[in-house]
Amino acid sequence: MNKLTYEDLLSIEKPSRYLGGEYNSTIKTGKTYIKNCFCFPDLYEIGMSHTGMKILYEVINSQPQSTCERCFAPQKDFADLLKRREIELFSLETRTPLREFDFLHFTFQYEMSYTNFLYMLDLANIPFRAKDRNDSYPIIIGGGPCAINLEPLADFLDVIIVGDGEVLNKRVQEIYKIGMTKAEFYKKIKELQGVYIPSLYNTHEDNGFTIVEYQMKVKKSIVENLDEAFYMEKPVVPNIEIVHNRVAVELFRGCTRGCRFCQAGYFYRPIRERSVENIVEISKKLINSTGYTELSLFSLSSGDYPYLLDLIEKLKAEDDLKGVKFSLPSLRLDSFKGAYSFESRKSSLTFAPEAGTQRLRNVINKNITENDILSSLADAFEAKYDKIKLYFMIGLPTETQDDWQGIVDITKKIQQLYQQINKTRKLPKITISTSIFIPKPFTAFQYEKFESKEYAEKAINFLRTELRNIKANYNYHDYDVSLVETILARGDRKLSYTIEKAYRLGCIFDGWTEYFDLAKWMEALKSTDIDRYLNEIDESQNLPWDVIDIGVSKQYLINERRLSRKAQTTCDCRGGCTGCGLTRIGGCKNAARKI
Amino acid sequence: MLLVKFKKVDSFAFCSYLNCRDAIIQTIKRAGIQVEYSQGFNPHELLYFSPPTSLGIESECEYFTIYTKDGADFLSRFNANAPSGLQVVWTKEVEARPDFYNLIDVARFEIQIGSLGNGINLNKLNCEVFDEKKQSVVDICGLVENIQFDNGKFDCIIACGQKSNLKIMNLVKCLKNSFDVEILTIKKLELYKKLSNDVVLNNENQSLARNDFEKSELVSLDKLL
Repeated sequence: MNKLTYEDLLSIEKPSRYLGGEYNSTIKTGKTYIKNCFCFPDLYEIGMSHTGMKILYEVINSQPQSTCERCFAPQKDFADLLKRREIELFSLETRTPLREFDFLHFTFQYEMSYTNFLYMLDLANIPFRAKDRNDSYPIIIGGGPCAINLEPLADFLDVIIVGDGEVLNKRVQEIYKIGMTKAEFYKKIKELQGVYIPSLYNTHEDNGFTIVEYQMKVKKSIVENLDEAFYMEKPVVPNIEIVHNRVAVELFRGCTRGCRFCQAGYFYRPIRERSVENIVEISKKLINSTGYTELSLFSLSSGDYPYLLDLIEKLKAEDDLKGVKFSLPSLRLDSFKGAYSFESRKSSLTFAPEAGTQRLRNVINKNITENDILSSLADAFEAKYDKIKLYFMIGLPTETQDDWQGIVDITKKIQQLYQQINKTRKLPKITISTSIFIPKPFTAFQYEKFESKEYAEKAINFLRTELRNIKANYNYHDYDVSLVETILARGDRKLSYTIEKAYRLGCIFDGWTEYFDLAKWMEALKSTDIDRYLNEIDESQNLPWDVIDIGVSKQYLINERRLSRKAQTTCDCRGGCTGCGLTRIGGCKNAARKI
Repeated sequence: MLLVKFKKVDSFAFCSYLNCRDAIIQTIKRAGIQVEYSQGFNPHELLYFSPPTSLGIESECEYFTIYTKDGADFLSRFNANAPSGLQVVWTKEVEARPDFYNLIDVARFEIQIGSLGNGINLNKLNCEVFDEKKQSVVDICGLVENIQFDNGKFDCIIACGQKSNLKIMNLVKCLKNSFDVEILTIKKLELYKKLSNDVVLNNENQSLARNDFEKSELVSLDKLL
């Protein structure tokens, strides 16, 4: 194999991204192992910030018969260098070309990383389509939140893992034997809950959508008890600055608030809480094994952890955690009281009311009132916070100009509240951010339309002017990226050709505003009827992702959609089962609770 | 106060100065070594470093000082918890923080090339090079104290102090321009003070006479600390 020279490394940006050798990285030698490589289709700095990867890295390395290495999408300068030197993309730990592994595990955190998947395969000299890869090539597994609908990548992937990976990936390692053919292997794993092997399913066209034919849906894999599940103990400590340079403990998985637009809320059900003792134990281990001084306590809505105050007290009392800075991302406006008592420095607070009026918040089932917003912020202002960031969506179902005005009105009220509490005429620093609503599969809004550019521009212009008038900052998410994201999110199998074409035209790192190129995507989408993916979909239409069963039933989603039209809310099922259908899959403790 | 000499080699040489500082702090924490913190609003470890080495250059002569009572077994505990390529060489209790910037005048580098370099004649070294930062051609001749070539390696002593300083990459460029060689590694081996009449040696080193040194006018920084 050709080798990179020292001078090559001096010529590129941040060579440490590609060299490995970090503390806690694992290299196993001495016998033949099942070789796994965890591949993240974005830069090292992004991928190394991802907790799921670190867990699965240790899950696999803890298996006596298996090793797991890592690989990230390289920056363009490094990719050019690899091509120039005719070197195939390799793993960080042992610098083994990806082609030589038994398994490549790709995680898809967001749709805009799909072209990077092809970019990595291309650099590794691996054919894109599963049918073009014989048994000498690795088995390519896709997972992550996008596994909820990976149809656009289904022709590229050998296996898709839907749901929680801790137990399933271990099972897969136990079943696989070195030298097994892919066909033999598929036969052994196809019945496992959470395993989807796209090549085993036929498809047909139905009103322009490619629909997967199935006898049994693929049920998502669920880890029932987080305290018993594998959690990382010795995560790799990078030698360079990464996006989230800290250790992280998951407080609980799942969220039952039932926001109707939120894919994660439906996908990660049921709620599974980690015990306070377990969180403290894990925190100590992670801090001692890494030397980090920052620990993030994360979940989909950390303020909803019922034992939060007890946990904070216990963490603060631990000698091993002295001087450690804790952070609590994902706070809701109605459940963050006391959460900021961690902070010594009053930095900014970020919340997501999502919609400007109570009516629209009811439509999306956000279940917070203006009173929640103002009373929480009053607490924050009393505690001397003066920077607030608020996230809203535009283009939500049933939205009108009144809802845009609502964003402006609530901003004004927050400003007045700050002035009242602090007895000042000074304004707090409020930043309003908007993104465009994207209808996602397996949400109550999976059938909704994606708004037109004209509409989005009108809303953005309105907000820009009105918010400037009241001296609030405003920024907004790019419309074009959201457009492509919608198409990919609600995509079907034939989009594999579109994605491949986009990649061939030069699309990579589409999630990075500076690299995203709408013109190239439009060129790739030229022969596709994109309106099909953007318009409202009829409720009777078979959907490309119907083959997957995430537990929540289609009828429940449709009912939720109907309720949204009446601006009626559905309660958090912690307060009583709302009948989402998850009990068919199991693992839900809320099912027994009656409203 | 503990004075620590350490090296950064192999791929860790590509770890920047600031990231290296983080790696050292994390290693100290993993090793359970107790250190003193600043008393400010955001307490941080009281660490002071010798001048940084450029990214990608291996170094066997980096230093920092730290306030700790765990000096006795610092080396073994640190090295057992360090990432690959970061290693403490020795430690020493000192009274005061050494003034690294005034104690260093020149540095010795070893530059290994990809061949035996049989045809290399150092008399033909062209010392003019285009400096990227200054955007002009500079002559580095006066900044090179000594340069020798043997067995595929350049052994160079170059200005590395406050008054005069030669960027090692400029010398490397000269070598490449003059001899068309491929560079395999660049390693900083040792730091020196240029001995002149105004240098006052501390007690321990009083006995050292100028002619005791192989390079008669240079005193290794290690002997001054």
